[in-house]
Amino acid sequence: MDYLYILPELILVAVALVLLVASAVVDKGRQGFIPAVTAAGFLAAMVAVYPAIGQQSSIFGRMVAVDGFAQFFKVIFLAVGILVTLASAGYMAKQETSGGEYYVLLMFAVTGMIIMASSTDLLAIWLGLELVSMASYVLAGYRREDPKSNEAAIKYFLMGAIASAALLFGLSLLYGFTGTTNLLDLTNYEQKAMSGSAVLRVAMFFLVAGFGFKVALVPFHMWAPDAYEGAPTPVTAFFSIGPKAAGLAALIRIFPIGLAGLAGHWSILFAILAAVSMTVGNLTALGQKNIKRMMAYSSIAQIGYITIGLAVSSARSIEAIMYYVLAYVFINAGLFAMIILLDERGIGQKIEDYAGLSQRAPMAAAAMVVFFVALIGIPFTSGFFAKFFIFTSAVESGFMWLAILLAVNSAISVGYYYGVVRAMYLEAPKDPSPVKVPPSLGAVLLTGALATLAIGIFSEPFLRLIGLVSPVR
Amino acid sequence: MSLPILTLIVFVPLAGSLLITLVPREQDKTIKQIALVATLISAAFVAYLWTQFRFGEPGMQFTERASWIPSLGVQYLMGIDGISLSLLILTGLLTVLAALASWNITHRSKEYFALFLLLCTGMYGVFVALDYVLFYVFWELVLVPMFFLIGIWGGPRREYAAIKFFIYTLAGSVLMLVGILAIYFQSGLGTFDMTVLAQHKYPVAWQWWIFLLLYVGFAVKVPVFPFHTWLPDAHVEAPTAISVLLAGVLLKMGTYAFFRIALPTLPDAARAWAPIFAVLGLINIVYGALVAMAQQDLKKMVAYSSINHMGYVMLGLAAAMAAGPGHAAAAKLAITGAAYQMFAHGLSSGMLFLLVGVVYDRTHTRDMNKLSGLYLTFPVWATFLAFGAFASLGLPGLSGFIAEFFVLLGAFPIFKVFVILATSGLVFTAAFYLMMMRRVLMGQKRPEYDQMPDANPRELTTLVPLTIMIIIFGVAPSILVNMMNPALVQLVAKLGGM
Repeated sequence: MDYLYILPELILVAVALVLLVASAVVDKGRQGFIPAVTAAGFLAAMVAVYPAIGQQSSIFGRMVAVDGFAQFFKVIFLAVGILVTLASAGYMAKQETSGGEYYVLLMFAVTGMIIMASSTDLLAIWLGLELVSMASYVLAGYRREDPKSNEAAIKYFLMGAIASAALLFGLSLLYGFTGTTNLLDLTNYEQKAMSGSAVLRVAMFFLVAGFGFKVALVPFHMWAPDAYEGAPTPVTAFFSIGPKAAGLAALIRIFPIGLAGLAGHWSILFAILAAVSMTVGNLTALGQKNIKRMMAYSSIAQIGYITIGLAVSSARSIEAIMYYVLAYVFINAGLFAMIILLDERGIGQKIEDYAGLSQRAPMAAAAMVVFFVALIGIPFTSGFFAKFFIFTSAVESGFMWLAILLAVNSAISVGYYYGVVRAMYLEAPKDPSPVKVPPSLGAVLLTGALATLAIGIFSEPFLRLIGLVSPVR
Repeated sequence: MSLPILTLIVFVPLAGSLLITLVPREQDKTIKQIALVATLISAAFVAYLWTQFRFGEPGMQFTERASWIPSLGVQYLMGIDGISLSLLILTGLLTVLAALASWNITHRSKEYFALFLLLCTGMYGVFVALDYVLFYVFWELVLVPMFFLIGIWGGPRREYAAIKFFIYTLAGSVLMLVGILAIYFQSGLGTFDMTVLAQHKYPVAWQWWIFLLLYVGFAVKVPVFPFHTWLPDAHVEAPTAISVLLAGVLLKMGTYAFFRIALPTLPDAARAWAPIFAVLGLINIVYGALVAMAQQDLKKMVAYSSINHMGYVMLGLAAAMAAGPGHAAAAKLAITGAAYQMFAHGLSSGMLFLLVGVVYDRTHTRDMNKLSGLYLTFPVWATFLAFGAFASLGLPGLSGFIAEFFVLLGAFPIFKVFVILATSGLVFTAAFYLMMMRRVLMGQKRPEYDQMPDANPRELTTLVPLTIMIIIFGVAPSILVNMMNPALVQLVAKLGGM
């Protein structure tokens, strides 16, 4: 029975292995079917989530949870998989080093993400994290011939390895104290009794730092801009949504639930990280000329906003985080579809390359405005309610200073999002020829824009769903 | 009331906007017609609303209520009282005129009118929303189309003006959002219904801080000194029709929010804030007039005159806030003047911006040194300009006079010194308008403008309605005063004046 509940993971791994063999056996020229099979694999895995819906149990020796929270993130991650696959197909087909391995790695990374969100054991979460990371290192360096891509991979790998070590060290300290790595046991552990210990503070610090690296919170963000810039653009798209969302899911499992009794230790750490991340992320983004770097800093700032939810750590703030992740995934997927389009067409990655795009690709440019408007947090888009709920939870729990800082940061962020909008709408194109949007990228753009508007206007059903599956009450 | 009339008023322009996106961009004429018809339909609904409005009845009318996000207590809640109705009438009139004034837009007209109609939806929405979240949604919705309208179709420094406007207003409004949420949680009522939240009693010291947050959000929009620096840029760079809406309607969103939110919800803080309010209002009046006097650019002068005029609204509000039980009648007078000024300034500043647009279309300059003797060149236009200037400087018999007279009369017993100082602003206002007329209308006729035509029928269609309204509301103030009276009486009572 246990295996029925991990059917999505099994499907992903099976399809990935088949594709791995196929990509080695089938001629390079005839591998066009691989992206389609990948997308179908993700879709099948999404369908396979169904048997677990409404179930509430713990399987594999209480290592893996079968609960609404896990299903919620599974569906999001699989949607990410589909969107990234669609967005990658055209771009990857043009790469010299193209091969089926790309999609195999993507599927493994998504599998790792799912493990992160559904595990209730620190070691299993760590394993999931490593699976995501290993796949990500290779994906970042996927353009072997490009020195920037190599640099991205090496930086990401070195920093990531240190982060993994830090995380593992934190886990070991925690284990030494409590004698368990199981979050369910930790929840029941008398945490208050040991909250005075200095060693425990160190453990908390390493745990937060390790995850801080993975989701790129300032000051652990150094790798992100380089990895974002150097990685193939579809991989950047994946980095900006996939591993971050998974990291947040794991953080929710570990801190507000598993270590709720120690909130006094880690809440302030998250508050500081949130404050610094959004401010540094936004201010640094202002000066960027390359849109991928800009988006790297933008996502550092966005994760900063979300981290407010962890600092607050109330029932409302956890729901806010989940809503934010849901909104953010579609916004960034859509936004990156556009960046991929321009990169693929050889138009460029600089913000100035976006000049006059409103005349060259009017619908795509309009969609991009929707995404930026959402990232700023203006109404009628999902980004508004995402920020609004974070805001609400912060004000409710007395984190007024974080709310005001969030407000100020939202205004700062206009500065750089505006740069792209200005280029698209207010500047004349250097080359007025229309840019055709291929159907697969068009599908991602359209899905992103529609989801951004729909989640933003009819937020109640999504909120109710999140309320239903939220692990914190 | 079965017909959701407020919803129709708000969303007909949005429907028009969506319709325009479906029309091929070559069909310029169709696009303009759709825009005009959409604004006309909304305006017609407003007119109908006016006939159905129950005068003398306090409280909200035509309320529409639907649940939106029940888990947070967010509702789709709309309703109007006399204050909102007066602003709806203003918005209805000015949007139609602005659509007409946009007829000569040829550059990317499809996008222009789609955004224009989106802007109309936002403006109407702000004046009818009774739920804080809905209010905020419309408040922010105004920003995006306004940014593009200034940024794409504006003057030479349009980009700077557009982004400055955007950042100022956004920064203000997110702080306002913090304030709104603080009210929501402090009340513990689990609703965002403005009227319900206004019934609740809040701790006095706490109110002061929340008032500050709201104040920043609203004051940026009004704009109150020292938050005003975006205004001259935005007004000068915006295309004519958009300047009309900016001055005529958008500035009123800020003052309206004081009427609707800050004063009734935080009355104790309002009393504490009144002196600061009055001083800043006074600065607006005097400083706005003096800076206007120094301008060479006709449009910039009109823009600064807006700062001057909005000062009277702030002064009137301050008087009502400070009044206390002893000065109930004076408070009532002052706040009536403030509300009246919102309407009157909408008419006169709208007219002046239209007139500046007319002359700029012909001469391609707004520099007063390059304009002279226009009485001889454009006699019809010049007559309207003189009328607009007199309306704006508060000539008795025209709408602006009533407003300023009420404000000063009402505020006098409460803020004697400020009112005396404010009257100096009246002199400066008269002075800069008269100087403008001397330079622009009189003097040597310029041969280079000789061949240019006077105002054409389309332009006259935009000017005549405003002229008529300015006269009507100048001689028959009771039309508007009766409409707003119950709401204002209620507000003064709430502020402790009765």
